[in-house]
Amino acid sequence: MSIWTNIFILGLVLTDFRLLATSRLATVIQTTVFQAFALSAFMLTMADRPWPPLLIFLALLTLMVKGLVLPWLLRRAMRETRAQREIEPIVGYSASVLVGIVLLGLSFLIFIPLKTSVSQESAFLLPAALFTTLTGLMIIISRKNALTQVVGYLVMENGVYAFGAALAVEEPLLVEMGVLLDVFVAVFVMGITVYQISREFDNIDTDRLSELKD
Amino acid sequence: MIMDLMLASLAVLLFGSAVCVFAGGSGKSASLMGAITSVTGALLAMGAAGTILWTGKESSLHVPWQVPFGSFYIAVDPLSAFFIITISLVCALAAIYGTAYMDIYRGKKNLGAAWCFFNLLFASMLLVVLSRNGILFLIAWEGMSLSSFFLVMFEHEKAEVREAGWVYLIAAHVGQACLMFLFILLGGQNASLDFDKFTTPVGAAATLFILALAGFGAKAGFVPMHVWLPDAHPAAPSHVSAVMSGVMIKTGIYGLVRIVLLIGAPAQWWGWTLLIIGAVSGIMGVLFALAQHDIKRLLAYHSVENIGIICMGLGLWLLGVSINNPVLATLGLMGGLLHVLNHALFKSLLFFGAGSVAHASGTRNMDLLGGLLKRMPQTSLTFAIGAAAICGLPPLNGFISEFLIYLGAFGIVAKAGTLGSPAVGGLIALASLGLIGGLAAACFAKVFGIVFLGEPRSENSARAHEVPRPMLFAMTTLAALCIIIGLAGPLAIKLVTPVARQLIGDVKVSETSAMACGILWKISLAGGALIILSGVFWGLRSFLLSRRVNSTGPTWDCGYLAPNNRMQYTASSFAWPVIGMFRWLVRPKLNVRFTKGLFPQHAEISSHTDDIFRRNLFAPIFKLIIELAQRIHRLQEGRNQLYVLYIAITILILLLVKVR
Amino acid sequence: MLISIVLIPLALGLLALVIHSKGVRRGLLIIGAISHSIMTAVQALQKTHPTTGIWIGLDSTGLLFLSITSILFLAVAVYTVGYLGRDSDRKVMDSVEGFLFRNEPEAVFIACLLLFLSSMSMVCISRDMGLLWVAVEATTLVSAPLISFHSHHRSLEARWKYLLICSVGIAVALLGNYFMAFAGHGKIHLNLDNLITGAASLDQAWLKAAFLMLLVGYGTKMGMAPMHTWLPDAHSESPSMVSALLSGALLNCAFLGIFRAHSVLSAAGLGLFSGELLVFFGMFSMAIAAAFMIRQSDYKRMLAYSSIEHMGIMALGLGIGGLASTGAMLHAVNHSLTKGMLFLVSGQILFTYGSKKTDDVRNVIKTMPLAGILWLFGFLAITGAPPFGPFLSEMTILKGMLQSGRLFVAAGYLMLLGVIFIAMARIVIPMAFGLPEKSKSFAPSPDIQQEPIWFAGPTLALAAVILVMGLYIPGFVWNFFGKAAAMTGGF
Repeated sequence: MSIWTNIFILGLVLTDFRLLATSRLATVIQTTVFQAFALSAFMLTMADRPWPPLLIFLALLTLMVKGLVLPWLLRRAMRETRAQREIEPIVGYSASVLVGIVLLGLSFLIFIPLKTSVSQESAFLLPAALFTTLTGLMIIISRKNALTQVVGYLVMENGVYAFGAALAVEEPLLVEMGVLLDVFVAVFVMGITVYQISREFDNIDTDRLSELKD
Repeated sequence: MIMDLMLASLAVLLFGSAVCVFAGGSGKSASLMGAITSVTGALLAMGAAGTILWTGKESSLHVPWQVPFGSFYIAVDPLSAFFIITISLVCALAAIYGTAYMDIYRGKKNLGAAWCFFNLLFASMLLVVLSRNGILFLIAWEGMSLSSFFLVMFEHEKAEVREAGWVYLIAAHVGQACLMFLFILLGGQNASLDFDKFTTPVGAAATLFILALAGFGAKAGFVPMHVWLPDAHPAAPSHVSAVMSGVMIKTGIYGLVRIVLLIGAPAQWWGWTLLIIGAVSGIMGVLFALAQHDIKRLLAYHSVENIGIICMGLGLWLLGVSINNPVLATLGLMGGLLHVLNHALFKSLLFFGAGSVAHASGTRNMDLLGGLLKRMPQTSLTFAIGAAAICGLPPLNGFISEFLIYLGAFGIVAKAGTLGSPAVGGLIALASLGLIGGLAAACFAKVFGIVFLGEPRSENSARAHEVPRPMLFAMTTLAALCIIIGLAGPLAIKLVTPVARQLIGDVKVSETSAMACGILWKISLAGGALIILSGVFWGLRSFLLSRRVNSTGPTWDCGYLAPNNRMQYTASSFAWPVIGMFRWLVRPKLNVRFTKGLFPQHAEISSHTDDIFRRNLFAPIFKLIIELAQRIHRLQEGRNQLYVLYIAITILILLLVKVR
Repeated sequence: MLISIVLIPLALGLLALVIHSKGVRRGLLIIGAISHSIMTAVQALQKTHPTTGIWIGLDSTGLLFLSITSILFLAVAVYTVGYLGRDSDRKVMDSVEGFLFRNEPEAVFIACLLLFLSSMSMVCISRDMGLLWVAVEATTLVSAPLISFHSHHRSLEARWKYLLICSVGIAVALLGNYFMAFAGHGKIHLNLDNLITGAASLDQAWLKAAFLMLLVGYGTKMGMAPMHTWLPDAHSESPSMVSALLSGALLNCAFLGIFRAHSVLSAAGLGLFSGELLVFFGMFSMAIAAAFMIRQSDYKRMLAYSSIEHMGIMALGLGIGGLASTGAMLHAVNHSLTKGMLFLVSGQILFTYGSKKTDDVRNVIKTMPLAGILWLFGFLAITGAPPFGPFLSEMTILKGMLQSGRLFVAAGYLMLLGVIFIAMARIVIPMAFGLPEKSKSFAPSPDIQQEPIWFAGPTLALAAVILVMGLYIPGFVWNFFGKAAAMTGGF
């Protein structure tokens, strides 16, 4: 099981780099589907077999929300707003990847003093989860397209969720489901906002959204 | 009994302010109600305070009050009683003066609100000197600041009034912040901020003194915290200026004295500090006064000067206490405190006079006035008395208090024999008092000469007329009091002796006071003789003149064929010889266009004097802060990406640095 | 039943979505507000409290914040009904750029208000860090549509910023929750009572990390610098009653989150660690707020920065602990009510003058006497002048600082308060007094009442409470604040 956990964690990290390196919105959204798959899979690999039915349910739910419904919503929004790709990112793609490497290093550094009895199976789990969170932040910071930023939020949320997944065995299920629901609603509301923005401004370039300042 | 009277007085005043709000519609009834309640409140308060001063005992009232750290704890001791009398006297007369003065605003302004704030100001000043609890004191203190702020803003349609109000509010609030700090430090770990539970934390005495100096000094107008004063006092209606200049700033003096008592044994440097601040305030105040054109602004600077004199008196007191010289301490304290009363009397008299002049002529600019002696004889006479009193000329009250300070200073210099450090203090006091007296005399020679003598410099000034009776009544009463105290100096000393006994608590106090009384009786005698002699000469003159035919002609025209009132001395030119001498300090700005060429055309000269502390000390600080702030404003530049970056950086830094 | 405090507004909110009649819908809002107040009062008067629930329960701190929310919401509801009656349907002229816009559907607005109330109540009564997080996130989502009620491009921008920044913040807070679970070795339930009683067994390094994340996360929502950036935009663009709720109630809810985290750390013996961080961020927030209030040209933004300042003060008080944290609790009440009132007044000024620029507003005291007086009153109160409520709470915090020997913190605190007073006076006094400049003529429409009863009622009521809070705090109320500040929770 440890080997599988590590494989999925590695998958998570790789998808992060793919997110940092790509400009096409469709690719970005597709990558989040991979992430959802990795998340729900390694949630299962963490637990001892036979898997508790509730855990299976949660994994399926995660896959459905993060891998099916949200990407569908985002693709729809992409069509509506006719936003195909990031035109001119604030931080370029190769630079983003470099920053990503630094962030990965920092993620390992941060967890040096933090030892835990949970998830001893993988030394990479926690840094990888944090790295995914930071990748999400990085995407929000470095991209100008409002929809890409929503995806960035989703990625960040995936990273946080990975921590939760490590705890899923012990954590009360209700909270996990609440978290999922909240993420779903958050992305939904953001999607609506992006749609309204595109109607009001004719595009979703966030450069236009910087009028309020001091 | 005493406390009942005080509570009744406060109740009447608060009732009055509430009634005035609702009587706002018609100005007359508001003025009437406001004045009646003020005078009633003043009489009640003076009754209570007089009894305390007479008996020398203390009376207090402690009522629990459901507020954290607070209690309704008020008390009257001789110190409070002395200030209550001063405050009540001036406020009552100001209220009477105000009934007529405010008439010109009827229909234009909400007089109800103005009278409401006037009564609130009076009540809160009383409460300041009464309260013995930190919270109660701060509330009263703020009440005083706010009600006077709204009175300053009375004519808020003028830009300079708004500016003055803003500066005043800032000064008041900064002072308040220092006082909060002070009281809480004194309160220590106590759950209550009652004054009698205050203890000085070990090693904190110096901090406490500095906080008190800053907090109360901002209200009193010590240089350089005086910057609000020359703006705010002229902006308010004249009777309020009189109250603010005459008594409100004295609550700063009261607070300083009270807190110094609470902190404990004074260090010698406290006395030195006060002495130096006093000397600087006195000299700077009078110099700036000399350079002013606006009569009320000029008077406001004189308040800075007189606060300086009071401060020097207090400095000698602390010096005396710290070097164990009760004679010096007593004379300094009595001189300082008596000057509080005296300054209250003549400064409100002068502000009333200035208000009357403005009321009659519509301007406060001295260069547009002149020749008012003939048009407003009674105002002129009382103003002259006030002017002589503020210069410290015998036989008027200003002399008495300054004399006590002189006496203390001379005593210490004479006793020391050599130039020890206390003697240097005495010399500083002597030298600056002398300089201040001379400059003040020059200044009031200018004011009286320009405003009341000569020919009118403008139409309005020519049309001036004597003011209504309530205003004359207030001025005459004050002038009479100035003369009475001047002639009966020893009686005035009786007024402050109980206070000195309370504060210094030494047998030497009575001795010293008796010694001063002895000298003052002689001075009174001389003063009386002077007055009788002048009376005799005046009678003789009238007697001689009555035999002859008198003819009245124009003022001597110096050989000019067509004398023009613009040929007269102006206020600026009158003051220039002195100002020129102190140019390096006062920094007046001259705007001169000389005549040129064969056919000279337009020429002009004007002068203007900014407050150097405002321009060179506070303005740069404010500018620096604003520049810094505007640089920080760039952080909020509008992009979400940047904002999320702030969050990300915060997370990374915290996680990397704080998790160990 | 405690949960009804959440469910009734929720049900009413959902009902408002489907009801067509305007009158009934607005009635629902009032009913929601009043029933909420009654339920809160009932909870407050109960002798025994169900604090032991795993998910929900009400301790003194929760009750305190619930009461604040309830009072403020009642005032806002009355105001809102009047406000909607005035300009719900007509096309409104934008005050800055002069274009016409429509408001969002009233049904959504009222429904979101009620849901907002419901979710904030949930925050106050939740006893579980996870549930607390869900509730805080819910407040963000339901309040987002409120911000862009005046639907035009600036309000959309504000809403977008609000959503994105707060969602990011809340995600970080979730991270904190998980870290806290790691601190409990994955075995401990995130129930508050569990955490506090089992605090000794928690892993300290993880707990520290958890607090950092919760601080940043809830701090974002609370408007703590440097995560405060959404706050001025959202407050200045949303309708004034929404600003009042955001400032007066929502920020408190986020503060409650930090309070809970701090109490767990205190129980684990890390109170000094979290306290120091709170002091630092509190001071920093005050400083940033002070800098932005200097020369601020928009009076609603000024109020927003003032909220940042006061959140800083509360964090500072909580961080110092002891008497200062009692002061912080007291300050929460004072700030909420005062700021709520100020925002309602600013809304009225905005309506009359048609501009958010301070330079365009002059002589309010003459044009609209009540609003002018309340504007000055609120300014003096919020800057801590006696005898208003905030004075006592700021004084209590100061005393707490000096009693624990934090002389320099106290000096810095007073200095920043002074700077903020000066900056605010520079803005408020010219607005209240003076004459309008000739070039910027404005004409308040004579047919519309400037100070209708639905404006006067709530604002005057709030003003009265603020005044009483400064003059009379009976012993049992004071003790209540002390209990609310106690880190252990419970009555």
